[in-house]
Amino acid sequence: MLIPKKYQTIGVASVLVVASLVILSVSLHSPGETYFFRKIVLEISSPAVDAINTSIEGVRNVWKRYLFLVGLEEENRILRGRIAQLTKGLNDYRELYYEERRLRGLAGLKESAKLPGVFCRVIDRNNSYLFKTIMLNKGTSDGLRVGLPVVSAEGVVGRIVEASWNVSKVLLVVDYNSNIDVVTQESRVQGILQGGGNAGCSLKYVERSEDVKIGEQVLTSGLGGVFPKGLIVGTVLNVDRNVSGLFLKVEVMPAVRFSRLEEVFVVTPEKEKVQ
Amino acid sequence: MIYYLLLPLFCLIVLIFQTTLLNLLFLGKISVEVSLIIVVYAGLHLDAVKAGFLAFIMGFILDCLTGFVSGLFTLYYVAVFLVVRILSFKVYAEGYPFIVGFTFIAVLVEALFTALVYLVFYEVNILSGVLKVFLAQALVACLLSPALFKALDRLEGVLNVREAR
Repeated sequence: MLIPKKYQTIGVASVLVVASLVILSVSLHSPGETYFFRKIVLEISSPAVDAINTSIEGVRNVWKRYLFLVGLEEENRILRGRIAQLTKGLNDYRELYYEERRLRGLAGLKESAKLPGVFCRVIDRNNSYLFKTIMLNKGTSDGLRVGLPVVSAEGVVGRIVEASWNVSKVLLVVDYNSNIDVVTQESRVQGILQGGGNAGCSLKYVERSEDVKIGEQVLTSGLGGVFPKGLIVGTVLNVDRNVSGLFLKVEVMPAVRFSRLEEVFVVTPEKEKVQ
Repeated sequence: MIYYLLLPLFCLIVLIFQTTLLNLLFLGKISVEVSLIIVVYAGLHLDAVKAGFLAFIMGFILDCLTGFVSGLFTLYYVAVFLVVRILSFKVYAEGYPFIVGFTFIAVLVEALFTALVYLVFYEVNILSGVLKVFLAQALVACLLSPALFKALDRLEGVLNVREAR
């Protein structure tokens, strides 16, 4: 190394800090882009993450299904083995049945709203306090790109924030970075729905004079150019009028149960119709 | 040279483990940053170039896997490397009290740093919620750090990458 050992730490740290600042600066100034190295990391990690999550799910299923069979009498073991086989068979059919129902729901949404798009499978979830994202098993090679809206049969899921060749990352509506232009269904009050992490969402910039009702549905307004108009985003949970300032504090419960998402539908523009 | 070739793979494996299995172990309530403990370890035991690159690569891959903004964790991990490096010249940094204390503070400062970035660039104040979660994360991480240091000591012995001081 050319740098004297005494100054190596400062020298190395200076170079790396500058490199980090460059990456941070580029990322903050062009938030919609997925850079090459990020794509590489996502592409390499997604099969491993998918495999681990599938294994965990498998172990969890085995644990749930077979734990209580261990240690039974010999006589009962054969019978219980048979029951387990039947249960597994039944469970497989049930899984297929529920999967078909979910896909029918998504297909129904696609038909009723005349939305072109791509069906994707959720392969990973990031449910930390700060980041609320999911990973999909399709990417730019399937026609997906950054900014496209993602929905499920229950309602709006979020939008794609990173798209690699074969995987995409979706920012959920409950993430702090998520802002969607919405309108309430009955009172037609417009506002910005901002993610609130584990607390759900909040409707911002609703004037105190507006008559927002608890229980009414919140829909996408179609403004902003990302989400089509009229998709369900959530339900008004609470309206707090005892706050200082110009605006009401409106809590919204998202329509989608993100922890149970397995398949989603990415809405693509008409001209990029893929499926 | 082999160290620099294997470094990204090592970091990727650690971070996949951290974001999947370890996350599951704590029921998804808190995420324990093993990666941060490894950066602290590298700052104390490896030479400046090796440790610096480890911090940089670890932060960058963490950004790619979990972060929304590239460079956030990269910058923070490099800063952690620099601070631990400087402190190791000034104080006795090999003892467990230092390791536990430093890990605890590093996780908490990370929360403040992230909250500050969110406040400045996205105008969202997440500090109150973040502190509660990160306090728990800091406690778990600092309690795990001595055991992880021992494990890394063994791994380092096998790989023979320790700095000749």
